[in-house]
Amino acid sequence: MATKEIQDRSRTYLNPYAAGIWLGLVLLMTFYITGRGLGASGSIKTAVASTVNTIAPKHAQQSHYLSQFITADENPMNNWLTFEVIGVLAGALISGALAGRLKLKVEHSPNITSQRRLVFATLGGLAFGIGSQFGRGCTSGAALSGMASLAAGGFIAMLSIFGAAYAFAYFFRKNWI
Amino acid sequence: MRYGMAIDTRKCVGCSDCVVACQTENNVPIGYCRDWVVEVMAGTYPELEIEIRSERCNHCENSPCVRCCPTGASHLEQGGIVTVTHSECIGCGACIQSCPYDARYSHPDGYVDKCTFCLHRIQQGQGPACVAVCPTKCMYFGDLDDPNSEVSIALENRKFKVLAPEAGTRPQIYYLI
Amino acid sequence: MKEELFVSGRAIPNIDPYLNIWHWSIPVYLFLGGLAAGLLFFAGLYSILGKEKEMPTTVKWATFLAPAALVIGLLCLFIDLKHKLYFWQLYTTIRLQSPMSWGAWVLMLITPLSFLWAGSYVRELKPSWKWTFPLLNKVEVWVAAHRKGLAWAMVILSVILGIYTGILLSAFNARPLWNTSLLGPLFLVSGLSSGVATILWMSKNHAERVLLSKIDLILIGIELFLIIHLFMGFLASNAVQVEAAQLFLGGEFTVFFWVFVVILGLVFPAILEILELRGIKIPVVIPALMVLIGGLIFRFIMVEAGQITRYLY
Repeated sequence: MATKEIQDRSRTYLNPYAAGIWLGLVLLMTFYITGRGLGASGSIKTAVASTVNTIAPKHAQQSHYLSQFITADENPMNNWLTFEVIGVLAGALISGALAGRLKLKVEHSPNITSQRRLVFATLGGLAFGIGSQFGRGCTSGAALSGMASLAAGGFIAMLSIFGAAYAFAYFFRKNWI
Repeated sequence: MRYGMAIDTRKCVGCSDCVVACQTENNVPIGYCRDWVVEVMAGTYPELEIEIRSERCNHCENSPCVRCCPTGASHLEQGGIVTVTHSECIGCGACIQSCPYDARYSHPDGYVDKCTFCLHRIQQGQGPACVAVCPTKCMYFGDLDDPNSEVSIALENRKFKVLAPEAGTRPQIYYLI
Repeated sequence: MKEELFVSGRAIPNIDPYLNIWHWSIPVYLFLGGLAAGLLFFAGLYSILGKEKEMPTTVKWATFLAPAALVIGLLCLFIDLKHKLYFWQLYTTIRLQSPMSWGAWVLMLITPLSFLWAGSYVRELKPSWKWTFPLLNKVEVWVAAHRKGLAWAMVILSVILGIYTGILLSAFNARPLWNTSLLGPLFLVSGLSSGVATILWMSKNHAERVLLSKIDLILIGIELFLIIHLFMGFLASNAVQVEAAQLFLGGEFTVFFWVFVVILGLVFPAILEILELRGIKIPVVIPALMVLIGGLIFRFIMVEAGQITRYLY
């Protein structure tokens, strides 16, 4: 009986405004407990820096960008963002399981194939990765936490991210509708 | 018959002749040593106290290294001298883990080695090499069970201590303080 | 102030500045030994209880991993020896005061036993199986006839194997972090938990999985209890042990131990298993893999941190 209820539940989602308020409260708690906000792209950046340092240490030392994150004493992966991302994955696992949405699948619009979805996701991710390093953060770090602490850069990042998405949405509408 | 040593910390000057003599006498490989000199400085300037000790394997009565050896390579010889039979040692490192004084090392040839109180010299009626070369004659070696040996006489009138008595190993090197 | 210096300049390889004579092969062996102990213990236990039909993976199929784990573990031990040509000296004597000697002999007994047990079920897996040597047919018949006795032997030997991996470390009083009698039971429970996680991962029988999940939850609970008491014991002990405990309470191993071993290796899989028991579907590979990796990392941390702690200097 429990599984049937869960199957029906998998189509119900939390009201997005309520979810937003919950996220805001989580951000507030994060500031209170840890003294800093949330983040995400930083963990990918340190993962990249560690990987490049392991595979091609000379290039990593010479690169102006990567060498900032590689110090002799501390492993770049040993920072709070790595653990935050582990926590995010763990929490998402539990939340997905409770909602009955724990399934390995590619979510895409019925008009396109999953391959096309994945290709565009990769391209979009690349663009976002490059952009996030220009802006020193992504939606959670620069935009969300930045705006929460009333940083001008945070507001600009948020406006740029959503403004650019709005401007380019017309050209990619066929992927969605 | 219980061989032991008494080392007068007030006469030791830290010259490390004992270290070099031991390395020469016993063909200790470069980079390894069977005995070493420790200097302890305590107090607040200008009330400083210094103690200089020449340390080595203490040839403990209740030696954990003999107890934990799985093959019996680490054993007690005449007079309570702890030695290692090279051809029985498998190089597992258990004795190294069990010594609270970190007196053993893994010889590059594979077996475990340490101070042997120069057993080969004792068998010819001489004392250990370190005792023989000490320029201040601060080390006394002999039979602790013989009240007339120089080590027993040295222990009679002076205060002495052993290292890490709380480890329960009953070491046979006494530091005259 | 109190300052201690090596005036003669001591820098012995692997001993100074911190003892590190045991590297990766010892923790890997401790993990595989514990895993094999867990697999064989539950196989023996459920065979004695007559539950062969209800728990087929536990009694039969999971035990195929035990000989592999034991052989690889023995290989790791052999690799760690520094005087390899003399390894046979281990088997010329039994020294009751040396846990390493017990271990060598227990492994010598339990490895062939695990081969016999797993081998006796090969025909069930593949009916057309033919042994290369005809003697093995007689052995197969003998094993089937004496299964109960062998199951008892397996239960006893696997408990000794599991506990000895911990007692091995706790016998070295010179390393304050290991100088606690809790390590024996802790490593045993961790090994049993790894075994149950593996069987859970392999099992296709729902009732078996439910029972194993419950057992795993109890074992994880016991393990957390023992870990908390381990630290309470250290903090109530003498100065070197308080210092040893500080490595995990603010020192260099704090994050790795509490995040990777306790949270991701014990608490989080327990939560997932509780959810699974409540009917919420979770792919079993996730908690099982986390328990296994947590157990492996736990042994790596204990071996490395233990060698850093010392009485002197």
